[in-house]
Amino acid sequence: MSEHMKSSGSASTLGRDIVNKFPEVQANPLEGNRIELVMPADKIRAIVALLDESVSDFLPESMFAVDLENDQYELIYIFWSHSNKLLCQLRVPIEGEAPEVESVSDIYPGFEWHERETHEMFGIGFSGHPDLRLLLLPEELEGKYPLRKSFQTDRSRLEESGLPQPKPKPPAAERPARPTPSTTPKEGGESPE
Amino acid sequence: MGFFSVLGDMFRIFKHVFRQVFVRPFTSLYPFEDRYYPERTRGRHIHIREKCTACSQCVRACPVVAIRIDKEDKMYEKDAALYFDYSRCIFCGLCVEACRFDSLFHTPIVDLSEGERDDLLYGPDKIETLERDPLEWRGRRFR
Amino acid sequence: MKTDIVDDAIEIWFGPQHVSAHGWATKLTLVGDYIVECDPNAGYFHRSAEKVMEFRNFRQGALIMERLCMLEAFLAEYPYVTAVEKIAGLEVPERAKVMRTIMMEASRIHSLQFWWGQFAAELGLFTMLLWPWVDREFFLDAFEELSGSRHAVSYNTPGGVKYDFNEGVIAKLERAMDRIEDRLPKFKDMLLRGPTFRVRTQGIGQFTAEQGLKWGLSGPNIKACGVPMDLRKDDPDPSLAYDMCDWEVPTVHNEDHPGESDAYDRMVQRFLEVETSLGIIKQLLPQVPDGPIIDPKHRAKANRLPEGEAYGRVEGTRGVTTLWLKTQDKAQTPWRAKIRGPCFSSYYSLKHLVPSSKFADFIVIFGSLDPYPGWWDR
Ligand code: SF4
Ligand code: SF4
Repeated sequence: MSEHMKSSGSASTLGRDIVNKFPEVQANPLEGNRIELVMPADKIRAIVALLDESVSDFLPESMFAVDLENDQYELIYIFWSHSNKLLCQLRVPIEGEAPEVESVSDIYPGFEWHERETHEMFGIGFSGHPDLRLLLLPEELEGKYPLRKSFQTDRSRLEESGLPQPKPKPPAAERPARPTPSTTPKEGGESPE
Repeated sequence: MGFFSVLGDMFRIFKHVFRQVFVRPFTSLYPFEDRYYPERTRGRHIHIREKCTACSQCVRACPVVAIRIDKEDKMYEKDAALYFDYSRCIFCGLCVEACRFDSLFHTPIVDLSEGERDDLLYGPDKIETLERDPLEWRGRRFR
Repeated sequence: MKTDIVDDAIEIWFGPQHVSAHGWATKLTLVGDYIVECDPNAGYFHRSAEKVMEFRNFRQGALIMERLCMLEAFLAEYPYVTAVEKIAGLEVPERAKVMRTIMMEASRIHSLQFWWGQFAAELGLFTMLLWPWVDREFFLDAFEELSGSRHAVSYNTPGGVKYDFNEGVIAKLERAMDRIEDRLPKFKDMLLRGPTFRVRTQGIGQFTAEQGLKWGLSGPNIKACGVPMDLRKDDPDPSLAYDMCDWEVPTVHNEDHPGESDAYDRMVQRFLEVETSLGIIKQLLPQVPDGPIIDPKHRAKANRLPEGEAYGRVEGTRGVTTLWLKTQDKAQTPWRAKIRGPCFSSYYSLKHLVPSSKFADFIVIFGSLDPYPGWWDR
């Protein structure tokens, strides 16, 4: 299968190939044979399909979201190719209260559960995903999105330590240094018992 | 696959059976005799109150908030009373590492079982001495 | 389930009460004796380790990693530690590098010994359950002598290691290695040449390397297909000492089905892994250099980290184990930590691997992937 590999295996060639096809993608070389591609959310499916075509033995290593607060999220996809010793990291900035991107789980089935987990933990939708049921969470946490920063956890144990407690931060919506007031509903209000 | 190969297999099995019968047991009669505990065993703590400076670094280092500090309770100049909750402690050793005044140590005593849950909360009287024999339980002494 | 195709399909929950299903449950749809659909369910162990990490500082975080998989504790905590080191820019002393590598390989052997016992018990041979587990005790003794705890070792720390080697540790480690070397031929005899094992594992759960990679499988499961994918060689880590010794990535090449692996190949692969690890430890033990195990000046640097992102990876016993860490400036706790457990993918791949095999083979396929629920539930 590796005969029809177009890129010669180095990160910069792969990056150049992709930037030639999709000029809106920004390629940042990382140290070693690693590359990071920053791309808009609507191109993710096309680019993953192109990656699949150009490097045959990509291992879908990891895929997750990062909450950057103020309804900004980042999706990160990590691929590792053994024959080229190449690590490729895709970074997709998205925003919105319930953002949605296209699922890549039919190109890389290994991402199916990663996407399912990201959906239940962050509330990011994946259109075209075959099965977005809860994976790890119990039913009562459905729709609470526990890995979002707005989810309040139970901190009562810390008060028992006898140390002076730092003042709790005001809830995100009331913080002054905030550029745009968030419209996030306070869904993560209660903490799990 | 003849008669002799089956016989040979049987002899091999018997050889193992007899070897296992006469081998030294790997287990010990636990409450009456004890196994060897290395010096670094992370068991229950001992708090040497003379050296404590009430810096509460140990409390901050604890990942599960198993230590409570009471700075009002002073026996010496600038010490503090520590309460250890052994129903929470995970014996990670971070508190001992964090104490820079050689005031907190692990001991190789790991027999912490108690009849009551509240007995697992070691107050200053229990955590500062090893006097209470951990092997004494319900009026019976082990080992 | 498309009931218009088969009317006599029955659904069976395998687990969570089943003895072999320790903390997982899979819904199987059977037609007769054959599985037509498999729906693995996760979450019975979920302790939200990633959220907990956001509230623990950089010394405490490694403890959580280690508790996800106690069998390979030295390996499991390494991705977190190395990610913190990368962000903080800590240098690891030479002695700590070699000691880390030795203990990680010892932990790999220990974990594989556990797997032999577990797998054999799942196939019905309980002698093989107890024998490797007796030998495992010798490694646990060495771990206890080194760190003071049998499983939750808490050994690696940002900037180095916590406990130094002494005579007792080395003697115990050597004793454990002598013991396993002594007994390895016997285990091979029992597992690889035993007719019951061959019949129950050969041709069961077969997949090609391409399929396995697409599902996200790594480690011994992929190496059994003949692909020498191993992060120890492919992505050499500067804070580990794998380059100080001479070793080859072990792979299995099966003549009958090249490029594919079945349960038997994966069993063979795990024996080869132990031999490789033994070789690495043997070469490294005499080479441990003198020096400090941690730079005392660096210890304080792990208290507050600058802004950054790092990706810590290690070749675990079960495959690629990684942790992605993001911190904010002057952070005491991570902003986001993402754990990639190798078994997340192997458990998922049951969905594709199990259909069309027999119900009795399900546990063989499951066991042959060396799954550990802590890794997928986190
Ligand atoms: S050993 Fe660990 S868990 Fe126990 S009190 Fe000390 S820091 Fe806390
Ligand atoms: S035991 Fe040590 S770390 Fe804890 S308050 Fe006393 S001096 Fe500070």
